[in-house]
Amino acid sequence: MKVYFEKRILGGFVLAIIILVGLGIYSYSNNQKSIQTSRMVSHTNEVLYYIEQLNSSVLTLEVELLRFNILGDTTFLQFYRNEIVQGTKHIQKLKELTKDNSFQQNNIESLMNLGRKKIEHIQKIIEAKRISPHTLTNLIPSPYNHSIKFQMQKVILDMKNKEKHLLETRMEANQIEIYKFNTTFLVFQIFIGAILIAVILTINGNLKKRIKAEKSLQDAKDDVQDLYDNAPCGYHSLDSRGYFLDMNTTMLKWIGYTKEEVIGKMTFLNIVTQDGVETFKKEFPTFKKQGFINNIEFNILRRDGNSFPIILNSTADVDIDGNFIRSRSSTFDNTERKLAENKIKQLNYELEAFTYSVSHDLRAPLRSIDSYAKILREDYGKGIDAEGNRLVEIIVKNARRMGQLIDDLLDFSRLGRMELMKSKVDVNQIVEAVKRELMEQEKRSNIDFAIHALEPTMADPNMLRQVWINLISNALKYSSGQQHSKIEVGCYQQKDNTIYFIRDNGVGFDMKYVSKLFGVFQRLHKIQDFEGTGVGLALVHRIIMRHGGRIWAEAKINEGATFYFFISSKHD
Amino acid sequence: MVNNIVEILLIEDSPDDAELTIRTLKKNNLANNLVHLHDGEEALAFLFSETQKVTPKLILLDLKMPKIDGIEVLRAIKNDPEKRIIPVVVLTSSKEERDVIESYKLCVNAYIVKPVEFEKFTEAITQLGFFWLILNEPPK
Repeated sequence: MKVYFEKRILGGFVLAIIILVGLGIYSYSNNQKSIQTSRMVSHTNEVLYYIEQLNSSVLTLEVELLRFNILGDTTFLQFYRNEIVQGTKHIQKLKELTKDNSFQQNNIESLMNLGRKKIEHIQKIIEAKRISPHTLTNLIPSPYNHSIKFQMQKVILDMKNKEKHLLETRMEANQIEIYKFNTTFLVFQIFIGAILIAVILTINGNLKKRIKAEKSLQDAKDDVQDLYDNAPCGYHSLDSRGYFLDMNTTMLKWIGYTKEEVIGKMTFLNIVTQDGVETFKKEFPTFKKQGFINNIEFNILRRDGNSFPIILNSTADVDIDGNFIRSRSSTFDNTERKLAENKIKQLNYELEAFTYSVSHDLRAPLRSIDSYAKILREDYGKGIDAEGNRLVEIIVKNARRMGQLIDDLLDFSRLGRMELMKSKVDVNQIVEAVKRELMEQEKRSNIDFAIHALEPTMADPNMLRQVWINLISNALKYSSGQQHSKIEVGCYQQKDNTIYFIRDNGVGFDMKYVSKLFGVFQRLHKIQDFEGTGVGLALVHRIIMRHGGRIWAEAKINEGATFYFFISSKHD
Repeated sequence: MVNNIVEILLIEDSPDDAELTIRTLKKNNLANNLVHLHDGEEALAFLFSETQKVTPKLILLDLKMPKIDGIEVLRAIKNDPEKRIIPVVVLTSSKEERDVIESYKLCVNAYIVKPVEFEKFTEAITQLGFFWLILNEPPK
């Protein structure tokens, strides 16, 4: 679009210049022609002048001749000689002037002949005057003399008319030429004027568009600058030596300096604490080489000497050859996160202290309860009646159950603090081993246990083993009431995930309570029917969640249950 | 508390646990020369006494005790050139990994977690008594 308009402007100018040059050439040639015509006119005027001179000579000569004849004025001879010389000169001049005009040449020829005749006649007259004055009357005035004079005047008139005609023709041609020139000039002037107006309009339009474009560009730039300056994170750029090339308002406010104080005058090292200086010296060269750096932590030093933590991410701006030009860094105020992290650390510490105290302090009294109840039974059992012994039994049973609860709770809490150690796990091997171990403790023989081929996965082997222990022992436990227990373990692919499942034909559960299935200490069966603390599935759920996976179940009362789970295939 | 021969030094703050331990050892005739101390301070005073030199065959040490805990006592014993040869068995309720690791770093001779159930507890005490006092050959 822009190119198109500029082409049009250029075209307009070129056309105008061509026309101007053409007009110049035309003016020049016209001027030359005009000069030529003027020259011709003056030439014609010159010819006319000489003709007029001749005419005057002829007439004067005639008058003087008559005077000579009548008065016998002797000065005539002198005058006559002068006139002849003058006349000859004029004739010669005329001959020269009209040498390209055959008509005038002919006339001059006849004029010269007539002149010669006249001279002869005048000679006769002069002779007669001197010798026999009576003969003079025959000579002058005489028809012959008159005839010569008449003929001469006629020729001169012809010449005059011819020249006048020529003059008129030339003047007329000149007029037409001038008119033509003026018209053409005017037309082209108007044309150029129109082109120039069009060009000016186009330029104006272009300028307006450009101004508009520049304005919108400026607006966009202002927008970006505004976003840059007032973003909730700190932005800055460093040159290869670490000096600041730019910094946004947010970051300037953080550190408490003005832009003028920072740009080109301060380096990154000026605004970090001592530990940050070490980090920067170590990481900056690496960053320049590899072109980026992510999530690096610094403590930023404010003008007032206080510091606060940030997280910095940066990319390097490089030239075509890959040489470092400048960094583009964004920083986030990490204070809140650090506080949260410290709080989490504190909470974790408290939790740890709590579980530690649970493991210590709850067990000791429990041991006493269990032990002293049993000593009572052992040493004094015979002295107490049946009801007394039943009560002792209840104490013992509950002490055991509480011990189990504490152990399970500790396992559950320890799991949250344990680090995930992911590796490739052969699920088949784990399931086979767990099945073997659990089946050894199983007193029943009527168990149909099928294990299909299981895909390997990325997981913490110990935790995954715990998952299978809990799921398989649950399946064994809840199907123990069946005449023939059927347990099936398998897997299938769904999208990117491998879904493992374990199915039993046990008592199942009501799907109404499925939401309680994975809660800690949540149980869907009576303790008399099935033993348990309600931690097993909560533990399984927690392990699967920590692996970025999901677990769910489907069941019907007395028709068995199926548990499904998958583990995220992503590495971390 | 002047015994010329001390076979077992029991350092335990819980009177119940101490009673259960002593009862079990007595039933097996292993507690004839047993001294019971109630915390780490008493233990250090007894072990590092200027007036008498005691070298028990076995020290049973609880970890969580008031004033000076078991780890400190263990460190003092194992840092002492004379006492370090005495077998020390940690007898505690703590299953915590860091306690186990810390104890072994200080060259503990055994680490036993007290079972909650009475039968298992007596079984554990009986076995460790027989092992350390009869089966094991202590340094003279």
